[in-house]
Amino acid sequence: MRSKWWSAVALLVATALLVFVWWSRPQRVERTALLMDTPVRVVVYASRGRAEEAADRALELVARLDALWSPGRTDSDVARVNAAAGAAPVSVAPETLELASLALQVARESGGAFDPTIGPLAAAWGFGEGGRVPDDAARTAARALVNWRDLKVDEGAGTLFLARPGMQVDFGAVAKGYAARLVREQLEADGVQAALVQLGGSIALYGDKPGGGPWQIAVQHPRNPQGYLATLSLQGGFVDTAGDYQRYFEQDGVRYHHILNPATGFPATGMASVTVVAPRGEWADAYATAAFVLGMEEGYRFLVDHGVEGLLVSDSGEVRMTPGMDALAEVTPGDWPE
Amino acid sequence: MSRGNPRVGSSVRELTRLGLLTAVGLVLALVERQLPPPAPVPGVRWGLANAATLAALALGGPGAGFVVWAVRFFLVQVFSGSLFGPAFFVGGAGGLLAWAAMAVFSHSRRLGAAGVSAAGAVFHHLGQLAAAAVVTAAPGVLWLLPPLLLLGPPVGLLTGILVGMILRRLRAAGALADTGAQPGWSVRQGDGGRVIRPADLLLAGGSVALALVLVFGRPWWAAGTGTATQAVVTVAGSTWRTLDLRQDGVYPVEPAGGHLVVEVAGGAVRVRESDCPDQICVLTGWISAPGDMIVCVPYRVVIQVVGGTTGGPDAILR
Repeated sequence: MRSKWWSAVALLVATALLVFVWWSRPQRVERTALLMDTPVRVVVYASRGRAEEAADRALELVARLDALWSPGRTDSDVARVNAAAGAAPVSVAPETLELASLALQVARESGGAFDPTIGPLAAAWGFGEGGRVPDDAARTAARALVNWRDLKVDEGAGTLFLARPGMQVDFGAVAKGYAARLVREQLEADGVQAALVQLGGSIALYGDKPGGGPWQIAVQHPRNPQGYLATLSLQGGFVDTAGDYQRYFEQDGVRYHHILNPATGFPATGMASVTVVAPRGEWADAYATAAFVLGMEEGYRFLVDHGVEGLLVSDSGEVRMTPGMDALAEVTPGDWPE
Repeated sequence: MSRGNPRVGSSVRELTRLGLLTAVGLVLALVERQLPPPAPVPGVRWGLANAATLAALALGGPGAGFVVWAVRFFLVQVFSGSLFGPAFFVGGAGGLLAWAAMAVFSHSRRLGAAGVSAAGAVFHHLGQLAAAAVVTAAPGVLWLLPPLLLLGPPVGLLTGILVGMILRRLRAAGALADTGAQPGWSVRQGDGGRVIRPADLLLAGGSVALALVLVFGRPWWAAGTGTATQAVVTVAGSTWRTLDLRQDGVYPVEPAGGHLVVEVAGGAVRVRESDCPDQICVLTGWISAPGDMIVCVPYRVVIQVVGGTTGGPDAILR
């Protein structure tokens, strides 16, 4: 009789153990939202319960950052800094302060090819409201208001200050990458097993993808919306693409895209897309834009000098990769229209 | 074997019996080679020859069982020309473990011939698989464990029931009156009439349950769910080629000392022909689901279907 009891207990324990193992296996939770003016997607792998909570918290963080950085909201840090341009320093959230410092650093490194004070030019071109080609006077006036040296960060006081009236900060080419990093850090702290965070053209990867193998990130073909230019096999880190196809308008048969060259006041010429793989999200984002503006030769050297991997495509379809990118990317250039 | 049997001539009798059982085992092994396997999984066999081993175990104890198995196994390997080849070690590891398991389990008072046979089948697969993983240098072969655990017990039960029925007849005819030391199950008179007992089913059920756990547990940790897109062919542990299943084709493989032809058609892959002695790889037939495997032990070739990376990229940068 005794032995029967024991086997019954053993069976129960074994069953309970199995149920527990099954229950606590990693779960895949996906959340999407429209935030920071772009589709946001968070994929989390973690144990049941934890995954859902972590994914929700991730979107909450993006929403909070959106509230800080959205130029459209009058109470956002960015809107308040712009409104007080030439008048007074504005105290902002620590994240905004950090974002401005990071942006200025890349502006310095790129010799102004990337400029976080591009706001007046972007407004003159009307991206966000359909777009229009500004006349020479308007363009020249706007360009005169673009200069990253006039954005003052006071770490001690916690303030941002635009030195001249009419200036506007525009963190559009660095905010999503930085946000991706902050979300990734939060997910890491929340103890998830693996995660993919995508804010438009910025992606953060964390952990080993369950099921094995590297993360597969496809890069859209600049001239074929249905096709892939390349597929990247990544173990983690950050990846970002700046492309002339992402936001543009046509006027008199000419296509004008949204990546403006601060030096000319016109959309940057020569490139179709630049994809950057970097150990930090803000670098991937801002470097991609900087390299796009710098063009094939200078952009390539800029990426190599800064120790990040890049996949550069000119607007005639020429593809160039940094030495390390060769091992990560499988390129399928396909047909390139004349 | 014969423990203090006082009767004169019993050793001659026993020698004759063992010789006969070995011959029966040999014939069954050769007959089995002509039969299609019970399921298209590498390593699954009917195990008919095991009936002779089982009978010897029942009539003469572990020693007799070993002799009948070892002599038969050795002779079959000599006949098929695979003596001391990879198949020899794989089959040997399986057979040895099966014999040991049956010898141990036959001491159980609850198990009948069917249960002992099922245990033998399960351990045969365990030993065979472990040895196959070593010989082919492809640890992925261990993924065959769930299907083998699933298929082993039913086939083993069948053989065991067969042996149980024959033993019952023999006993009824008085032919077993002079047998020597025997495991409990062959002499129990009480329910000796039952060819299958609850404990037999419990043992087989346990193995099947374990198999199910492994099968359903697999998606947690194994790659290759999703749609099958490729077949990876490894020879002696190194990848020979990765075949695209969307592209029909015929690929001759030339492993050391042999020749086999792999064919891809309609999203499935098979070994069309092989000059290996056991033909297990050919008999496995077409495979097409991620995780499916064809193993050719003599030539150390493993073909495994792998899933695509769940059909597409994890994200698209637009």
